Amino acid sequence: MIVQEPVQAAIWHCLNHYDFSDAIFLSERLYAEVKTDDSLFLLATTYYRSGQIDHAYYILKDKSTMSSQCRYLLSSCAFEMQKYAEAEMALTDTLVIKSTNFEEIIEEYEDQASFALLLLAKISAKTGRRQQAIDAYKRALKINPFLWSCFESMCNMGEKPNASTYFQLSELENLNQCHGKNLSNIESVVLTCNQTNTPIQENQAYITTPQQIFSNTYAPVNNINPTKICTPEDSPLANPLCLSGFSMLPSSRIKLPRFKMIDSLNTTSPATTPSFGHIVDDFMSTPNIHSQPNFVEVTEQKSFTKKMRSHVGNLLVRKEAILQNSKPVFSQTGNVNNTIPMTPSTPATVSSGPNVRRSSRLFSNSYSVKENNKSPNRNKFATPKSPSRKTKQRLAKCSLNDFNSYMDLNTKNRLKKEKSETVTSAELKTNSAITNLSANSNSNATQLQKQSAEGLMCLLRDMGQAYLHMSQYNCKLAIEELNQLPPHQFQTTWVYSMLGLAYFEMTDYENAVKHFSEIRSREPYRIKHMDIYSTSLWHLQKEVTLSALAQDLLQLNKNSAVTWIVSGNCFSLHKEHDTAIKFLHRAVQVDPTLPYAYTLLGHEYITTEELDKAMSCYRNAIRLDPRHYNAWFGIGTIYSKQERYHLAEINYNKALSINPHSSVILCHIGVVQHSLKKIEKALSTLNSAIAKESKNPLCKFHRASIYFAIGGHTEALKELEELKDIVPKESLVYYLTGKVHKKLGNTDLALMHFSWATDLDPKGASGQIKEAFDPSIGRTAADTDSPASPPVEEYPSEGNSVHHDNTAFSALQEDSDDSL
Amino acid sequence: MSIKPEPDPVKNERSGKVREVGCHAIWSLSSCKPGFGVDQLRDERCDTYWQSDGQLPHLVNIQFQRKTTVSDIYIYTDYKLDESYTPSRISIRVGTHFNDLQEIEVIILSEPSDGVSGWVHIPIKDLSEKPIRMFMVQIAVTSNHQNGRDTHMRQIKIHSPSEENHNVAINNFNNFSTVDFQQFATIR
Repeated sequence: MIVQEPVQAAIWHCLNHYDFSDAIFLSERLYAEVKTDDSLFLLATTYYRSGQIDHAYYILKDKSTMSSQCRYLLSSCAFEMQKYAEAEMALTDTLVIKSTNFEEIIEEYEDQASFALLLLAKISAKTGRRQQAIDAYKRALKINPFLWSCFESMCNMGEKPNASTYFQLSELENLNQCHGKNLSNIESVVLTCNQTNTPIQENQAYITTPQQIFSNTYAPVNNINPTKICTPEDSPLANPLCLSGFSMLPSSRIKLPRFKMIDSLNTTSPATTPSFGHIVDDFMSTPNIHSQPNFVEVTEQKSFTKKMRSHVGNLLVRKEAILQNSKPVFSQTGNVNNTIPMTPSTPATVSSGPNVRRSSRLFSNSYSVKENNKSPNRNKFATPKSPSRKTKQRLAKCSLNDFNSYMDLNTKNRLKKEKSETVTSAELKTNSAITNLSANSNSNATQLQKQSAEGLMCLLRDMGQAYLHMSQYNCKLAIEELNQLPPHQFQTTWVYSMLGLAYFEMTDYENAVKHFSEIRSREPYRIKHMDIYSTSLWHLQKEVTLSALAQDLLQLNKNSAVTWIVSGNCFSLHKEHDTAIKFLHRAVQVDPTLPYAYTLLGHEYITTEELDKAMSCYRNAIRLDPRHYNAWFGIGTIYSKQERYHLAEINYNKALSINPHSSVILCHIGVVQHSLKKIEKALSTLNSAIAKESKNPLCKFHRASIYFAIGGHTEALKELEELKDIVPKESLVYYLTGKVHKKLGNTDLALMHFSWATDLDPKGASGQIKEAFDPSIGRTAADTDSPASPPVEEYPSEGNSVHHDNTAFSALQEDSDDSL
Repeated sequence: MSIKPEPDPVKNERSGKVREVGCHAIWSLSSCKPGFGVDQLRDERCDTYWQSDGQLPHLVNIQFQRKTTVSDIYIYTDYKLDESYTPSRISIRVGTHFNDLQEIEVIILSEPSDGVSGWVHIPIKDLSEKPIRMFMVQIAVTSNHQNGRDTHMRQIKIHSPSEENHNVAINNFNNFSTVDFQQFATIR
């Protein structure tokens, strides 16, 4: 019988059930009683998980020698508290780590190595060592391809990692780094040995009570489900069982598999087989479970599979038709298997000293799953995937049996985060000896696991590719990639957010808003990326929606920087810039590491003409994220306002280098070049802007004004005609046309256009443009307006033309009166 | 008798064409009663007021750090509540510093009729009807209603036009009338 240390087990139990206060209390007592490394680690973990990170830090800080898990935890705490030097010291024992030391880290931290490297990468990124951070991310990803955040961070830093190389499982010999040793609440498959009864009974001695193994939480659904599900209870006990040789559960104690089927049992839709989240055992052929009469479900399975086989034809055909290249990987994360490859010798020693071995393991491997499960919860992805990449070979490999059972069951497991998966019972045909069994099955088991996770890897490869495109601002490519994702994965918030972001960066605000509002309707509590949504609404000047959004978010979560950013945008749209500044300051207070808050604050300061404060805000944003091109653009704007056009051009070019596809930036560069009198360059820049984004009318407008300035009146008129078709209601278009006609001497056309312009915009958004009708006839070439800056004139408002008559001349002459 | 619409400074601020620039300035008073000073004058509330405590003329000095274009000044007074404390003659002086002020405007307030909100709009323009650029503006109360000695002023707002510099390239992007144009105007 396995005996485990009850106090530790109780504490982990509390932790796993989020009862932090009891966990803290008990671990304090335990630590007072037994001052070992493990109990210290347990104490620190309880503090960390309950949110008292500083407390955990201080108790771990001064201990001289610590196990690697304690050091990792200390490093984590120090990182959270922004003590980066200490974090690095704790992790690596040296103050400055070099890339060559990664191997030492991997050796030392074993299963935790990928997280240690991830933490190291984050520390390096925060302390300005970009190359080292990237190396560490790459290494971590190589060891543990489940760590999406490594890939994401690399993209954000401007690297261009290749998604297909990193999200691969084939390089790994085993998945230890990916899922650690202790597993709970994870579905697993018990690879049973096809043994006679005697070995079973013998091995009973080594097995913990299955009650501890089988979860009690699932309601029995379907007695015909053939599989045994092994869901280890959330305690380290699972481990010893698994180590015992992955099988031989006494039938009498095995509860029938219980599954909670999500939807009703009868719905089938062949298109929704999950590609991961399920373990499929490749070794299962037709069930030969007769040899294990002890297992109750055996007979049932037989009958079930017979039934299912009759449906095979239909389902198979349909499935193949629909998912041409579907991956038949119905996989389930296997807890069991991780232990198998660990030490092939352990089963051999099982018989010898079970108690000793297990107890030592109990005390040393007292991880709770949560800590190790930093990889995305694979069992959550109970959705099908039909990538166009995977070939049909896999399909063929799967036995019909698996297929059918999954067809039925998988349909219920869509998109829900339940852990109930059916597992086709694994029939491992091995030799009778346990050792042989283990030796063969080690590799088999790893294979099994790898196949199971391959579905996720494929998805990650696709998503990684899309994310990479996004980070390089190749928005069209990103959108294409994202659209190719399978429907169930496509309809998640992450994908919609990415799509919204892509459209936003392409200045296609209508589509961006469409996607974001879709997210809002599905998940109104989602806060991430709502700042981008608010900016899109700001651009489209949708005041009501933006105000509603701000209100909702304020009610939802006042502690999130995004909420305050949205509120700031809302007030900015209402032209209450002081209030907007106030709210954006709050956003900065709440999260000083969010560059976008600083950028928006900078924009607001520009509007209130506090250019020095704006500059410092932009510099802060760039300090936090050098690839935040909005901030570079903002600095360019400041210089442009100060008429320091060279500096403006430099900064605009920097922004352009980060986001080369932005027509807005190109447009601004064009205008600045025109101010610098680099006419040719300006025209070519505007041409390229128009080529990139034909929907941007501003580029044409400014090209027209440049033509006007250099005297190319006909070209200008042509552009303006086109613009009139594209945006018929823009008053400035008519105003410029009027000016061109006036220059050409077509006074009547000029007057016509001016009056149209006034009609469209009586108040004259472009300042008061005063153009009296009578004086314009007698106008000489004295008006020195350059099209780059509409002169200070006033539109004749309805009743005021007489009043303005007299002052028309003097006003028109004083163009450059008010320059700084 | 035509009824002019009430001056409403807030509405103009919201329109985006003008900005309230009092927050960028340094305010000082010739005299005040404790608890009734600059804060009460600038607190956006019309129920708190500044009460002077000295000899006429009572002065409000507003000094900017930069030469600022001022287009309007709004003063809130309430005759019903203040009666003899209500200013009746206000002189506006602008310049560079205390010794360089020039009077540009004199406003005579007759008894504002009941029900009036109390905002008095003083447009600031030079001979050519343009807003004036200045470092300092001084609002001087030269006499009160019913010959009162001290004065109450409840709120003062200073407006500056948003479009400062019309020759700057960036101003090409700010003024489009349609959303279709304006959305492409800048990166936010």
